[in-house]
Amino acid sequence: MTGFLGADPEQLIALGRTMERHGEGLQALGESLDSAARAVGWDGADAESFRERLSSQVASPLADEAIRLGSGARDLFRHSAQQDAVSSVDGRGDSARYAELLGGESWSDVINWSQDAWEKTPFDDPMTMDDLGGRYIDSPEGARFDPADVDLSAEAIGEQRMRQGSLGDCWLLAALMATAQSDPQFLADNITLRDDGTWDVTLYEGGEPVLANVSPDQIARDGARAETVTASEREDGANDWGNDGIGFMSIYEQAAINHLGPDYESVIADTPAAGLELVTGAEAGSSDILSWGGQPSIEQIGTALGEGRPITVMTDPIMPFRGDLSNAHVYQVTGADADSGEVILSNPWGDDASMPGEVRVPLDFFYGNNIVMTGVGAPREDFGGNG
Amino acid sequence: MTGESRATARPEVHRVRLTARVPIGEAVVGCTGAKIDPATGRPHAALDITEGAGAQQLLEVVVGDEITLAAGALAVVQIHPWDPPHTAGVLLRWTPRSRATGENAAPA
Repeated sequence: MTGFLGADPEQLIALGRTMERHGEGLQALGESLDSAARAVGWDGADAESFRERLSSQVASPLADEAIRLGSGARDLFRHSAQQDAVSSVDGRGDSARYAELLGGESWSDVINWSQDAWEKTPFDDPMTMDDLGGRYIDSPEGARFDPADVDLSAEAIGEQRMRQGSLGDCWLLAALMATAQSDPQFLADNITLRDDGTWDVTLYEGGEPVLANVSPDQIARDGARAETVTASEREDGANDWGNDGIGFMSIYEQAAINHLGPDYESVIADTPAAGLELVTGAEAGSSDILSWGGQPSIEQIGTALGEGRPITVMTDPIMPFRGDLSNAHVYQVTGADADSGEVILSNPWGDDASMPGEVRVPLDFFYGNNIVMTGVGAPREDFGGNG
Repeated sequence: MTGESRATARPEVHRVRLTARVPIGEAVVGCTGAKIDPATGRPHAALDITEGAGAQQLLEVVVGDEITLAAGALAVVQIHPWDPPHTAGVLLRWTPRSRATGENAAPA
């Protein structure tokens, strides 16, 4: 590490302004093309079809990119503002300047943005146990729950199917899925049932092991589960959460909440690599659409999976809605089919939603804007960090 | 939810965070997208709804839409588009069948 941390705020602002300007340019380009196509004296079905395709396949994606660039610019302005504040004598910086850059956000918003995020509206309030259906042990399906009945063997962990619940912690759950595929014994070794009926779970912070204790009465009814899809559910498309049992993911999820704390919000939304590092303790590679080296190739993904590296990816938050991929969602990469040029993704939601549990994403989509971030974990022999 | 329905007699408000799912009545409702619609400049969201008996649907919704389900109706009260570090997702009001009115939202 060098002696310097942080960034030059002026450079951040300059880059943000460049992104903003080019975003506006893309938006204007899309609108201009759309207008030009509509101004052409061409009537009939072919004309309408062409204009619709131009609008949906060119103008709308350009507008999406413009929004992405604008959002990225605002992010840079926020970082610059925070940088300025910690570097200034009075810890305040130039509030008027940033209020303008951030479109009216107050200086207090900038400095305390993370706290303010929870204070904006009731929607931002931290989720409570009641929001998650209450305690699992108070539910009809959990009334006779015995911690000793949870099979935490490597075999069970390797076979259990993830079913995400009401927390937006796909980054963590996808990391658990990927690690379970790479080395289920590692996860089994990191959960211990104690004599008092609670579990000790080993997570990692900066490569150092940390122990998180989980009590059964902390587990919420609508948290992550080991999915059970019965024949009748499969046949009629039903979605019975009541028969999904407590599994390793339920305990790990609560362990992460207890460790990262203070509430459920601590596990909502993070990067693919962050999940892999929290679970495995080993440094994970992270790449995104702005990375110099770009995203890994399909050959690199295949090689990494062959080495037992867990891999997860995050989808574009603002891509046009699709029927098979959720926005801003982290998926496990289960395979790479070099012949078909497809990457195979597994959805932490499991198989009981209208979105498919498994998605094959063509290489062109993978390198397009549908996948924006990739986390590639260490080989399984490096799991365990420094512990 | 065919086994343990969460059906209630009173209207309820549910927060469905982006990428998460919530049992509502006899359905499970997930939010698979929440963003600004570039065409209108207004927030819109994508909802994945599973009810059983083959009733699975993916809907694109805006504030004010009402979705008719087998056991009641869902109204879209708020949409919080993706805008880190703010929380994204949808706020839904669930009205059990005896009180439900409205029409289906447009399919995505």
